[in-house]
Amino acid sequence: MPGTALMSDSPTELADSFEQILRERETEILRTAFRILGNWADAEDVAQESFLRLHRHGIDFVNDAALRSWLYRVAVNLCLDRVRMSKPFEELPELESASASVEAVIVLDERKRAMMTALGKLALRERAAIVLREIEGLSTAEVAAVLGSSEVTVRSQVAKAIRKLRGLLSGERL
Amino acid sequence: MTDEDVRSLLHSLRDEPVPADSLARVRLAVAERSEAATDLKRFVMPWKFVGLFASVALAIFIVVLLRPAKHAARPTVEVRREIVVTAKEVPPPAVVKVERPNTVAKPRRQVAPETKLNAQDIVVRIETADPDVVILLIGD
Repeated sequence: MPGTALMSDSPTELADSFEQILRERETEILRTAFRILGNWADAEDVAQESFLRLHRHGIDFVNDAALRSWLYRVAVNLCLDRVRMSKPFEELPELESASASVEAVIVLDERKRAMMTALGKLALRERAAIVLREIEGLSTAEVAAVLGSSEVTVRSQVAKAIRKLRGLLSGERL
Repeated sequence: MTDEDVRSLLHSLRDEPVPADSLARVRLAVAERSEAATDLKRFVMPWKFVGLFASVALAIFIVVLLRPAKHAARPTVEVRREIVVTAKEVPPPAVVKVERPNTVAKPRRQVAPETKLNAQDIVVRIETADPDVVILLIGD
């Protein structure tokens, strides 16, 4: 558990703790960034930057949940900044636009691909809320903490996002 | 499609594998950059102390340099000495009897020599309006 190693003081132990955190958290951070951004290249950049910020910040968190929440918050904020600065989310590349090697690795069925495309059509904060709540499995309180909003807002965003996704997946041709 | 279908589809995305090469790239980049940051920190840290020490030394030097000279700086302290006045008994002046002659020679008055005019000499006596001024025409 990273939580146990978080309080260590020696540089070697800190480096080991950081390595451990990186190994344990990289998958979920990379996956979350991909769900929000829609492509692996940008998701990799966001994941790298998130862990480097953790390295600079230091890993003295009170517990594992605090660390997890902090990492998600940094990653999601980086994703939101990236999307805001680059292109509107409607123009986000779909999953197919990722590199060929990624295509080879990830085999998505038709419904999942449709879902990914539909996710790209949601408003940015709704997308972040539903990715964190429904895909990553964070509690409503955790999502609210990550997004810096209230639980009521998160519930509303998630409900709205599901309604939109249902409409997109059943009514529209994606 | 119901809300539950949407939710289950979203949940299925949770188990989706993350590409191994993406993970490897992230891990490698983070390791490289964090190591570089640590090295930089290790390099910069001693110089920070050197800089701090130099700044303090310079500040002390400037303070010492700008301090005015010792003589000028020394404040003039007015020391008031108590003046002790001791009353000494002064002996009464000795009375010396000086014998003086009773007759003191009076200084002689310098009297201008009177010029006595004879009545025959005055030829004309003119009295002016001023009673004190009289013009005398004296004949030879």
